[in-house]
Amino acid sequence: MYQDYAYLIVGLPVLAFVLTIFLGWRLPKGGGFLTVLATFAGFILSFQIFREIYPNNEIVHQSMHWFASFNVGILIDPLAIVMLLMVTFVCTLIHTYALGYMEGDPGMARYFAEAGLFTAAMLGLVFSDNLLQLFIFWELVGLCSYLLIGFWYRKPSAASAAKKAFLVTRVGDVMFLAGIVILYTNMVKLNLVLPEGAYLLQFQTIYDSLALIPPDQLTWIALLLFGGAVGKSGQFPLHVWLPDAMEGPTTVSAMIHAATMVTAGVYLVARMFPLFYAAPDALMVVAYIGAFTALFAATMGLVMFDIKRVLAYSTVSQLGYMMAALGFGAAVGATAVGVSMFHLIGHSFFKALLFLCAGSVIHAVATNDMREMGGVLRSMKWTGLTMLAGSLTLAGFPLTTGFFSKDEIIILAFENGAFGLGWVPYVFVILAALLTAIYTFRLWFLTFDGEPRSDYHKHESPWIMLGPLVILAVFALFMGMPSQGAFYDYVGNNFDHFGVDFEELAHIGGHHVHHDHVHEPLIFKLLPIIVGVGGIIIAALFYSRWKRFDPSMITSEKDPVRQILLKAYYQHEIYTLWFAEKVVYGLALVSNMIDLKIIDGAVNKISAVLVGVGGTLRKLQTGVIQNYITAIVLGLAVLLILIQLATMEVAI
Amino acid sequence: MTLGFSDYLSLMGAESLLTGLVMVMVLLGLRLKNKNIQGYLALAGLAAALLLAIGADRTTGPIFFGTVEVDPLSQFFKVVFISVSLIVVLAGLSRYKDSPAQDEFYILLLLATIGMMVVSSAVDLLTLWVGFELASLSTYAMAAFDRERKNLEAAMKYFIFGSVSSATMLFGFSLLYGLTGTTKIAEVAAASMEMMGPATLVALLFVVAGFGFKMALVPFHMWAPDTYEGSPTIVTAFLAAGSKKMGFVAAFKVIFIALLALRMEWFMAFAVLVALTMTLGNIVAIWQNSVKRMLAYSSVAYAGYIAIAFVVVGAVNNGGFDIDVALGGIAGSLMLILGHAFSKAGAFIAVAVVGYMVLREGKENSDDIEHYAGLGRRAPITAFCMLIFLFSLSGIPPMAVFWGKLMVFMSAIHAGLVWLAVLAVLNSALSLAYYLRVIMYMYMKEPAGEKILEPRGYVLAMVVALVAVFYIGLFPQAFVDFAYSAAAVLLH
Amino acid sequence: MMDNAISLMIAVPLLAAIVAFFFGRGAKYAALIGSLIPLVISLQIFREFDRTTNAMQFVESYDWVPAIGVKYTVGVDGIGLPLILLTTIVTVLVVVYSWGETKRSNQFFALLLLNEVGVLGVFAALDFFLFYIFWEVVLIPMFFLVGVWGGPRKDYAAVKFFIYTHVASLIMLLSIFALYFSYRTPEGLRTFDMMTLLAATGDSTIFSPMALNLIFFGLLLGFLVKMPAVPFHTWLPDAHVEAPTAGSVLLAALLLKMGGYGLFRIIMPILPNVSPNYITLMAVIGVVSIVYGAFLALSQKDLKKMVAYSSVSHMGYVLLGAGALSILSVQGAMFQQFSHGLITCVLFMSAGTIQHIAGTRIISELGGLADRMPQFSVLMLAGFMASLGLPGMCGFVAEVSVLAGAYENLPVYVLITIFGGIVVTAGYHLWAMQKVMFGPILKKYLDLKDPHSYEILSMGILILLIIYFGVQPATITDIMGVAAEPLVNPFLTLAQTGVI
Repeated sequence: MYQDYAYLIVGLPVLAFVLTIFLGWRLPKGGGFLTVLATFAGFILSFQIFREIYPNNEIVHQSMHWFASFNVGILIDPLAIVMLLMVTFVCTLIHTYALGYMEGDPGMARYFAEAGLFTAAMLGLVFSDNLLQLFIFWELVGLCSYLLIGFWYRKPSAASAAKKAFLVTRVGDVMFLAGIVILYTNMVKLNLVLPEGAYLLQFQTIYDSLALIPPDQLTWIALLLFGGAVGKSGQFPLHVWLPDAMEGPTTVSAMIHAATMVTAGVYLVARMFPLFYAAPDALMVVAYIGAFTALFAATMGLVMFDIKRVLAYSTVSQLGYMMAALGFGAAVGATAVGVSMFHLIGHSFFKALLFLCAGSVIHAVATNDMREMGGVLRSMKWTGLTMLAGSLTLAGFPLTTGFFSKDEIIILAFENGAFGLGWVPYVFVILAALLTAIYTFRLWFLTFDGEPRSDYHKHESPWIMLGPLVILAVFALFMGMPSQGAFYDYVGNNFDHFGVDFEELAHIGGHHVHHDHVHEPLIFKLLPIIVGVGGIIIAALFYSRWKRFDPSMITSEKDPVRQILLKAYYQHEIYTLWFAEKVVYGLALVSNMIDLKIIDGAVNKISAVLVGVGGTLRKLQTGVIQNYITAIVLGLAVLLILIQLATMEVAI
Repeated sequence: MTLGFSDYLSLMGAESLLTGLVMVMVLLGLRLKNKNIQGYLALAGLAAALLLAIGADRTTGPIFFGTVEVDPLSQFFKVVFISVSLIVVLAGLSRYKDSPAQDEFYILLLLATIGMMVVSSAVDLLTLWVGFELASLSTYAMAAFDRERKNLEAAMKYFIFGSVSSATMLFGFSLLYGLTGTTKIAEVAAASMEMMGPATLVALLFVVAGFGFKMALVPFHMWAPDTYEGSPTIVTAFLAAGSKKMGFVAAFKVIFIALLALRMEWFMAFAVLVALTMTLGNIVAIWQNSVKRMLAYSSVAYAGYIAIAFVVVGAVNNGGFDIDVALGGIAGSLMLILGHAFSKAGAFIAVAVVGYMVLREGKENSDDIEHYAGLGRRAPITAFCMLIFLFSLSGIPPMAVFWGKLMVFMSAIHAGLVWLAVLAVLNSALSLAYYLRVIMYMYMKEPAGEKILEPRGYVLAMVVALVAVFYIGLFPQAFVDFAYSAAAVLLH
Repeated sequence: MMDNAISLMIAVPLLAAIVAFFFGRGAKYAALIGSLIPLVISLQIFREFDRTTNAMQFVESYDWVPAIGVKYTVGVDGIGLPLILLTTIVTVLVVVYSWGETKRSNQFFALLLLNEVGVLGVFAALDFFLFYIFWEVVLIPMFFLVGVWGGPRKDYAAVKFFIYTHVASLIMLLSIFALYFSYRTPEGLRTFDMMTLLAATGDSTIFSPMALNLIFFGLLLGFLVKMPAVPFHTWLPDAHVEAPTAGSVLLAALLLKMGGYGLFRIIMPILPNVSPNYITLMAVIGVVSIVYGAFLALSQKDLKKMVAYSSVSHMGYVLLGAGALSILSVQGAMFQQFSHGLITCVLFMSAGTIQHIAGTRIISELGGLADRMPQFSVLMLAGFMASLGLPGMCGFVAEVSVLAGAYENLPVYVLITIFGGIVVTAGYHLWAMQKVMFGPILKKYLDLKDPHSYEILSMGILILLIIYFGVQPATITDIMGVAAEPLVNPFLTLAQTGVI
């Protein structure tokens, strides 16, 4: 019976948003507790629904007409429910943490209002039952990120970061929109006879008609949708907004990077997996982009000194893993969805944890720059230890959640190679795994280990902030082992609920379905562990109290590689300074020229000519009778000629 | 048929009444000390005449030995003429209040009106010409009425060109007479069917030229702006709104009835004249800084619009004479004449008010547009009336001129003269430029002086015109019917 | 009352205008009442409107000038009714927004009402002649609003607006005449009746292709100029920049819609009889307007001018949707008219409020206003978001309908629009928003505060409407959908017979 109230999962946060935005400034803590309660209630509700549908493996689907041939509806299947649980749970913790973190900020009410809306938008995105509705919430997520990243709008950097986030994701969004438009048109062309309560863009309908749509169209649609995912999930080349998104409060970063927003892209691809699977070559693109992003971002994570930027690049990198995992579906089919989602869930726990810890550190030491930290552990035991937990699992230390989730992805990469779909992704992800371990522990050691490198305030954060950290730490470390197997076949078989026939789709997409798992040589089995642990050791050797080497031994300020990495591959120069400000704005100025000079110029020219003619004609009117007489005589002559001409015509 | 005196009285009642009134006023003029009464007499007379003209029976054929006829056409124009002089007289009540010679003004005005009425009902070339002269002579005198230098110059030009044109016209008439042996328009028409030769063409040439003068078609228009600008403003109102229309009625009668057979010949001539007139009138008007002169040029342009009827009628013979098209064209220009008469008269009276205002401030060249700055607050009623008259003249619905313009453009399209219609339309758009300019000065500029008290007579005159403009604009049906029946007279 | 509701709806503001004109100080109260009554009537009509049929409803017809077949005929269907609602709503809100107008307020409010009369007339008239008359009447109040209450170059702007659009409408008039003379009723009479004449264009025995083409382009020109579509748009920025806020709002929200209305009411019924290929022409113009307009907006320094060009860009969707000839796209185009009418109000009100509070509209001279004007900045942000097509607001629904509907027939143009238009649109909105509202507040603006309550009120109501129609578009799109069918079906039959 709880499922009848599913709409409340979104409804309550929206309500909280409305209440806080109008009354928040009157309430204690800006009415933050409203948002917390709403989100928590959402979690309880989701959990109850989970308990209703899990045992006998049902799904919830409610739908109503919206306008034209579109509908609004709720779809809660395994894929959705795990997301719902994760989002509500993590967001509850983050909001609770924010009660302490945002204490004393004048805009507190606005923060919690926007945070509530953000949560609502993400949840709405997750349980949409059709693509258009998903897109709508997708855009609302974008709006909220814009508002939250620009939360401290008085800071010019924050304002422009917000704009950048919105615009860059917008580039993805238009591809998404184009994808929807093309998909819609293709489905209209099918002239489907829809049963009662079914609508064109519903996922069910889409899955059903995949086999009827021309494969090349499918590829275009898939790639365009993936474009949207690339934008939202910060995949190369549209990842540039993510690091700048640090301008918002740390809790916002935590939400964006862990629970909401960036996971949306992965979720979209997972949701549309049958389409990707049916579309030739689409999944390969996904795999390569994802794997490349994983490595590409990791390299930049190596050199950053801003603690949050390191985490930001690590997010980009981890999202690369998730995308890649989905891409490997080309080799292993729908199980890839389970694997990817599992990493997504696990990641959301430990990444939220890491960000909140970072926030707690920044809160205390009042700087983002790791060069001014060091030895923080002494003053911040809890923060330090929880962050250690987060770092271990991010680095993929054996038996932590991150280990299980990432290891599985690496295995998929291996199979992907083994089935002849290319070894490049495997190389990328394995290297990325190594780098991940290194930059993670570089961060931890630089921050918490060694001697203080500046005199920062030394005090632990309040318990309202530490509490969530502890809870998250527990999940980050131990959630993986017990749940893995169950999770894989629960989510992996998600599409059975829709009667998706992967054999047929594989035929369309030109895949060979492999039911047998290839046998890995031992070395490949161990490799993930080796790179994980090895990375930690390397980091320790360079940055910890047991350091043996100094970074300067292998690199220096002038080192071009280091420069490129520090400059983040000159993305800012290319994207903003060159493309946006030179090319686009240049075009704008040119068109303005055209408008003023040519189009409007013509208009003014015409009038000028007319008036000019009048000026000359006017001079005929001299007032001197003689001239008039001449004019008249001329006139008579002309008349005569005209009349003559006319008569001739008659004659002819 | 034989009609008794009483019949004549009922048919020519308006003329008879005014003629009598003129004599009475002349005699009174010798006796009276305070002559303001004369104005009211004229007013009453004209009002009565208007009723008589409307009431007169329009069915009886030619009378006075077939020289005049009372038909819808004549009555239509009589209504126009009488109303215009009524408005002018109203304005005169203020303009010539307490001036010693004012009765002469009214008498001349009435004489001119009578002359115009004679023209409008004449069906004989000679009668027509006589009426023309009667009207013209009195208007020459009126143009010089204030005896200022510019009046005299204007009157002089007017006189010269007026007599030249009368001569030209008369020469044309005499040729026609020589060719056809009759002065009766209808008979000329009958005769003109088979006659064809150089002499005909010369006759045609001179007739057209003569009417060209009277209607002020380019290039025979040049007297008009100077005269209109130079004459006393309310006289200008009479000339532009009234006596010029006399040219049209005469031209309609002669060209459409007498010379219809020759339309192949005059079609192209009129086409060119019309195109020139509209365009030149508007383009030059844009340049005028004197509102009075600007309006004068707009009258030239209007002569062009009205004369479109000639082109339409001339064109419709292509593939059989389509009576509908011709009717529409003529009815259209009649509506245009009607609307233009009221709007122009009103506009000039407004100019007169401004002139009066400026004079009282002792400033120079009273017609300059600068004096119209902020008129909306200095003389609200005048400004508002002017606003409406100008919008009417620019053909914005729902004012009187709109319907006229519309029907004329329609007939052009109907006759297949798309080029002409487009030209006319663009012209009418162009004319906005100078009408709007005045409106801007009146409402969008800061006032050049303090609020003034608007003379009652002027205000009354403008309000009458205003009411007419709106009434015709909102309830055109009656007038359109009238115009059609009048047009039918020309094409029976 | 409902049997001549429309005439009443048109007459009330006229009377109110006269009252307001002679009311002096109290003019605004007259204006408020005089604009509320039509609102009530239009809502009543909306309630009693039969949503199932696309026949004309609430029709009234009286002879006016039988001699030339002019009648006074008014009525509404799914094409006109939404715009009538828009007109009555917007007028009320504009009156509220202008509550503080003191300069010659009696004339000001009288003109607002006069404008409403004209616009309502255009949307209700079913007689070509009446249509044209109202079409022209609208020019006058706008001319004065720009000319009297306008900015430094008001003279130029006012005259340009008047003459430019007047030329276009006169050419339209000639086309109307051509229609008029080509057709005789079975009784052998001429008529200006819109429906009759439009239906007649289907009869190839009456209309030679040549004539019909001339007629078509004459009409099209009239509407394109009004919309305005590139390249006939240059009167718009000038008029907007100089116009007072109320003027701009009415101009963008209502007058532009007259052009779009003409497309649906007159152009589309004729189109299949002329040459179905002209839809491509319309689509091209539409797309050019969208993309080019967006780039123009991006390059503007003056906030109001930017908004003006954004109107050009958004009206392009109307052309595109109309040209694409699927029910969804045409319905979307109609809805775009409606939603742009609401959204653009907010944008122009924002620009106007900034102008009179901060004393400038030059984007580079503004900064950090959100700091001092929290309420206003929220409303402005909402308006901008709506304008850049954020879901949950009506603009998005309209644009998605157009794009989704149009792709089948015009794939290339749709893709150009999506990739060339949407991001740039987002770009200039956000850029302006950031420059004006965010960042550190400039010293000279430290003592600013939120605008008057009535300005906040009117903007707030608009935002609520925008969100409502974004969430519940079906309230009004269903009647648009019904109205769209007869426009599209002829083409479908043509398509089946393989003409296009």
